[in-house]
Amino acid sequence: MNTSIETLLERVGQRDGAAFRALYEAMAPKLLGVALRILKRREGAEDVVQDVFVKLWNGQAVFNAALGSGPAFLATIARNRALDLLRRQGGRAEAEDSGLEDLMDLTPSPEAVVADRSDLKALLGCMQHLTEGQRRAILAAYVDGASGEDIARKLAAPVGTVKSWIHRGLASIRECLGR
Amino acid sequence: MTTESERLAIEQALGNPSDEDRAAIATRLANEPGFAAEVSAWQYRLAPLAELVPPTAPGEALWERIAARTVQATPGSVVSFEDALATRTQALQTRVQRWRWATAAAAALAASLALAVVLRPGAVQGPAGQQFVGVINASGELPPLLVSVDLARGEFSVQPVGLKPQAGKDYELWAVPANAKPISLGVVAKPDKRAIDARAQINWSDPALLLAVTVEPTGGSPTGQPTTPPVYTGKLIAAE
Repeated sequence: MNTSIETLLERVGQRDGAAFRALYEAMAPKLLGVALRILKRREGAEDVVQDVFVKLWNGQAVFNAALGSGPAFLATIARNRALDLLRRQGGRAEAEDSGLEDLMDLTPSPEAVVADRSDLKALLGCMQHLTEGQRRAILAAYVDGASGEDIARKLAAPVGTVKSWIHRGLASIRECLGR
Repeated sequence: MTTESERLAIEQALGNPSDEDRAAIATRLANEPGFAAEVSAWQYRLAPLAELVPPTAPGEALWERIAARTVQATPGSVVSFEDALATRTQALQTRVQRWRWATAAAAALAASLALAVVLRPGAVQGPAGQQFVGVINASGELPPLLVSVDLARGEFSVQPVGLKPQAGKDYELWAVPANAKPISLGVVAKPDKRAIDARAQINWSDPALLLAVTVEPTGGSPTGQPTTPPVYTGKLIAAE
């Protein structure tokens, strides 16, 4: 577990301003990266980060350690918020759609590797048992918030196949994680 | 395989359900108490994937905007950056509060997922209390230089590893903040510990901060700014 982020979240819950600023310094770049990956637009992505931090301060988003790590909690609310915004915009502009990079090139950030995040290790370990198609489809769906149609175009596979890769892959991940 | 309920929970967790699924999801969210929990369980299972996305430094104005709506709107909770840094440092003390160097090559850490999962460049205690740092990269080469910054002690240390001495020249280390001129951290020739010069006002925790090494005349750049392009660059990683 990443103790420092959880500790900061707890203190932010008590409206500790210094902890709030420290949490921002530690997590804003990561959350901005997550939102930018989905929205592809800096302005909207910064709005997402702002929204996450305002919600935290106002107690509208409350961390529950039973569900996962602090960084996982923050990434989840940032991602959900970015997807909401994307939906309200009616999706990405066509020109931006082609911007999906090859996700197989992604490796964990050095910070995450050094921090020895056990949840990340377990998940990536399980993902190695997937087929390449399953892995790429799941990464595109999660990291880019890409629809089945986007992924099908990107991977040049039928939508039905992509959906099946995602669902079989996730079933395998759940079994592997054992939770 | 998965049940229909599980399938819908996954679609909702991934955030891009079809219109048809969206209606079915709304019904389940309204009628099945366990369904929302299943959606959120999937989101948490997959959330570590967010670590695969490279961080992006926010613009200066973002904190101002957030602060105006939060701490500054709450009486008695205005916070200085120094307080925040002290708080973060204190929180990190539950782990290890040192910052480590990642070479540009190590930033591309382990080309395969497999390697990244199994290995980590962590520091471990040796029998005599020594500390070790491992640098892992695709080629197995040693990095030119290791730099670590200890904010709690207010010092940083440099340790040349694969740096080849050049006759009549010195290697000089620079901190390069985003949108600002490089700040010299001095010539590096041997393992050395130095106090952080607070006057230089380097924001060590800024993920955009770059470290660079240039080849300069003996004794370092005469102008106080690099006279040649960097031969090596790298970033600091927070050790947690």
